[in-house]
Amino acid sequence: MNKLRRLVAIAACTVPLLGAASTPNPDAPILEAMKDELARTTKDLRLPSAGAPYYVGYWVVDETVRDIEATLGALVSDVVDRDRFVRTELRVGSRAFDNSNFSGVTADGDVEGDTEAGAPSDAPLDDDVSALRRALWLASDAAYKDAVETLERKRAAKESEATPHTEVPSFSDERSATLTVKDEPVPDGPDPADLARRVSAVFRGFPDVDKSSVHVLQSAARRRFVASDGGLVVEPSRLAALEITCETQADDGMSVERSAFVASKNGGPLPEDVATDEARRVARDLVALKNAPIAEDHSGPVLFEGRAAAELAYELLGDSLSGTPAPEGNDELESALSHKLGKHVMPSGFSVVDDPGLSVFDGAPLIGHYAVDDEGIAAERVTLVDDGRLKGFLMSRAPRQGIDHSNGHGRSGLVGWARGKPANLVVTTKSGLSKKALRERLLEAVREQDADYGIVVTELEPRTTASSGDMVPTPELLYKVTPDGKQTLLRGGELASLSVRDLRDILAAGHDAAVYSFVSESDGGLDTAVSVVAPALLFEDLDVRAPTGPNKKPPLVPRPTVTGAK
Amino acid sequence: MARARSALVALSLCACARDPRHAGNAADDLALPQAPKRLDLVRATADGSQPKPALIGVLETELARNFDELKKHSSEPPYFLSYQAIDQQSETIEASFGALVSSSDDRWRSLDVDVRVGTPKLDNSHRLRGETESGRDFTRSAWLPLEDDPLAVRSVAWLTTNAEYRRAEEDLVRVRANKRVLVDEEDVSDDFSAEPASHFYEKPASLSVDRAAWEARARRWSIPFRDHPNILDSSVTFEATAETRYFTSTEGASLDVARTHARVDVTARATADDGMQLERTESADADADAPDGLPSDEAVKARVDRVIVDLEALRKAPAIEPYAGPAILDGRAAAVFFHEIFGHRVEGHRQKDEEEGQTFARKIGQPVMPSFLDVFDDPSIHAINGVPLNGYYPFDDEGIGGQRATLVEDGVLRGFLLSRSSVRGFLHSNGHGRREHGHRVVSRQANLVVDPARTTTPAALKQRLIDDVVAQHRPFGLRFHEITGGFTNTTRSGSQAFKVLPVMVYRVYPDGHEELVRGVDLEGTPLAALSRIEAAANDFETFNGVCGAESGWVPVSATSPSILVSQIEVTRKEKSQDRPPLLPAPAAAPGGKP
Repeated sequence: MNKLRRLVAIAACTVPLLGAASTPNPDAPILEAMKDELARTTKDLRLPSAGAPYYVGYWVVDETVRDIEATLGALVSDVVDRDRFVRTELRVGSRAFDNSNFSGVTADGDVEGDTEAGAPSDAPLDDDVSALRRALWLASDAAYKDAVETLERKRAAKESEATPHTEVPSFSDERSATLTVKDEPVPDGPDPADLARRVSAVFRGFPDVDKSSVHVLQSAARRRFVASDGGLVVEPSRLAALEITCETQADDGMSVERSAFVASKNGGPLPEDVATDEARRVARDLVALKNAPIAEDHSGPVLFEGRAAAELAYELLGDSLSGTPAPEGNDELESALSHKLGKHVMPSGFSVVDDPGLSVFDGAPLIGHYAVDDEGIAAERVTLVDDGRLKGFLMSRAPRQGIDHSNGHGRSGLVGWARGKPANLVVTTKSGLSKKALRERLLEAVREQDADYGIVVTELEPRTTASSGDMVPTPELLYKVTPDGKQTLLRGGELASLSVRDLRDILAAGHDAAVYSFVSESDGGLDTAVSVVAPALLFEDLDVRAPTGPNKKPPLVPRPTVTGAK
Repeated sequence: MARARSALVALSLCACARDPRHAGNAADDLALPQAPKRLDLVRATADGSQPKPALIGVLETELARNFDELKKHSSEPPYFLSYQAIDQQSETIEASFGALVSSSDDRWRSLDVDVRVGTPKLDNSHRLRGETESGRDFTRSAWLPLEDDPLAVRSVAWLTTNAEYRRAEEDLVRVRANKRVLVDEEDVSDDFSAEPASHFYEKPASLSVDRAAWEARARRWSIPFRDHPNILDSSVTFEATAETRYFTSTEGASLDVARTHARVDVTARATADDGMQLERTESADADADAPDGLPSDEAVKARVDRVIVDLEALRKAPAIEPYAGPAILDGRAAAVFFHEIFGHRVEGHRQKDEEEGQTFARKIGQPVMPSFLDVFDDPSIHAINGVPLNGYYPFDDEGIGGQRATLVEDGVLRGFLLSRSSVRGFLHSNGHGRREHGHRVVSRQANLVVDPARTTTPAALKQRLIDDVVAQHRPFGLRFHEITGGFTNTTRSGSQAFKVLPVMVYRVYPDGHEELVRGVDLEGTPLAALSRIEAAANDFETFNGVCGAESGWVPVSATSPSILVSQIEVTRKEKSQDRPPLLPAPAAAPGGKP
């Protein structure tokens, strides 16, 4: 049955391809090169002592990124990078046991990463079939040799284990997608360099801000995928985002920072009014922070509002919801929720879904959108938590006990094997309170615990990597709220560590949800753009710590002033 | 650790037991036919009388304000402040096997602030003995706006000055403590020399590149590699830069130096059947002052062909066995050899740093190489024998005019490369204080020239090599034609050896025929290597490249004729165990894009 289905599917995808050759198709030469080399690789590439690859997937990714930075109304950089990468996913052995998902430990005790596998290599920008084939040929050769060696090491590591891992196959038995996503043109907005200048000029009116910068990232990508199981995908994507950062020193020398992130809908023009308002808001916040009293050690109820709640939700859930088993030889990546399927992980009423198909939530743009994941599997909406119980995981093509298939959440960025990761993570609750009611609930908790005050966190420092759970971000805006309802901004407070377990102790949640989006710096590009939606979250009892560490002396020389408008 | 690394080709001589027949200074008793030399040094006539660039004015205002305020408010007021802004614009185009691989432009403007507290006799820049802290080699470099908006530029300058001032204050405390607890230093010369301040304004450099035309050229030049399936990787890279270096100091210096540069690189890689990785880069005739001045189409094609022929030959060449014997270093290889083993060791700051090997610190007035050799370094030379020099500049990164530094005369050491950090017996800079943005200035090479008083023909030099081979009862001698890079350790903590990585090396047999070999490494020690130079030819060649050391990467050149050394030692190169690709290269599609 399976075999038959595959044959039918291959036939089905071959026909439109042949048709494509006769009509002008911008991807035709690239797909031709990919298919030519795929055929050679699957048929002929083998060492005498080892097996041929049983699965090969190629990605050819085009990406044009414009990166602009401005400060105080003047441009600091404006760089356009146009790149084309080749990434290979090559498997030897069998579905039951192959070279993927292994990170062994060397004799020196170092963990051998699997980052070499599928590491991207540059490909020619021209649609030149023979030059592209050459790039794919060398990438395949390197990937195959690496795969053969890795499989041997993985086998040796497994044989040396006292209690071997539970037997789950290495690779799911399913077919990758055949899909061409149409490129939706976006309207032209204002010149992004001018936009960066104008938004950054807001800070000219805030002489108490020492340093400020506005970053605009505009990117357009086109991903092409061809696999030995007949998979064939072309998917364009766009992103436009603006990041505002500013910092200054309080009179005692403590450094304070604020930041904001503004994304556009579907990679279209950035909303200048929103960006300008955000710049004004963070500038005002920073000046308030500069003059705010210092936070003290405190234990008690803490309410995360707005983007802080969404970022915290990602921090606690992002990695834990990955269903990809820990790599053979490295249990550290094992999810904290791996044995909780069907159990309560959040209070009743909460649900969590991840839906790469969304591009907007309640009018706000979401940036984790894609149609096909980095393993060529069509993205699915997946219910992860339902009424507080864990119902599923974010799956790549590495099966786990009880879940045989991917749900299109295999994301690798450009390097390494894909792992199940969030795209657009949406946390909701049935019993959300209004903002006012939630504040009252906070004060009620303060009284119940006989504490002096409660804490409200509205902004956390932005994340810079996609890997969550290793540390709790530092609050940018943290307030103390006394029982009389008076709110005071505090400076320098830090949160003690939190884990996914703490989610069970959520006292109450808000009715309205906020969106937090970020683009991972470490992997770069669109592949690790993530959005998180969550309501405000009230925790019963968390620790806040006073700031530690020496402060730098403030400048001896006052900041320069220049009279006259820009 | 003060390790000088260089991207230049380097070569080495062996320091093992000398052949008794060649003891003493062999050069003086050589009876080689003399041949006239041609060494045309073209000095640039830079126009420094242009209007003062707006950026300098903005920087001067902020410099003066910070200097005044710091003098008023600080307990340890600075005695000197300077700002250096570097504005660089570049275009890079790379093609491979007939297709474009990358095409990009970049523009940035950096700011480096130098703050000096204490006195010129002893200030925060003073070397800390017994502490290895590479962080001190770096500045708190910042990015300046590309636009001359006064508030935006001055805000960056203000914060950077503050960061550097705070560090200078702390460093001075450590310098004073270090001096109190350790024995007296051998060289007590000043940390900062007194120099006149210059005014010099060039027109800021600009770049105009017809990108589509250069992309088409790069594609075309890279096509011939397609017909060579053994060549796994190859590229033709075009790079053009326009750079303006702005400098202003509280001593009143105010200047900018503008430079444009263009280069075409040709490089290719193959794997020998035994897994040895082979790479051939052709660096001759690669540079020009501007894209228009680059060598012709035919010249680039000839370089591409040379790389192909050499790489194919290297694949089939025998791997070398360890060997010691006489050798010729061809012009560019010899130039790199001098850059590595001599040039880095006459950088002024190494003479007073007691963690340095100080090979030449106490050798002023003494012979350090055969008496027929002169060596100098001169940043003010713009071209030699028609070849533009990468190390040309009218002023260095401390605002001091680039001047000829006489290093060796008649084989006797006469001087050092000097920045404003004085060295015993040398109270003034000779304009060799250089840096890449983000690094502290130290003395560096610019245009190194090896100028023998007596030269012979290349043919006579080869005959002499053969005579040496026969006299030493060796089966063959060696000729080093091209070297890809090298490094040299100058500190006392390591061996004072250098190692260079030659690519094109030939065995020269007594009957005169030559055989290419591969997998050669060259090692040696500097004084022994220099003393074994026997003769030089009249075929001057220039190596243009970039050199990396404590103060970052700086453009340099080195010029030398071919030289004969009485003994050199080579070892086997480290070898990769990788197999060549398992499948043959995909067939080149006919009618690919030209």
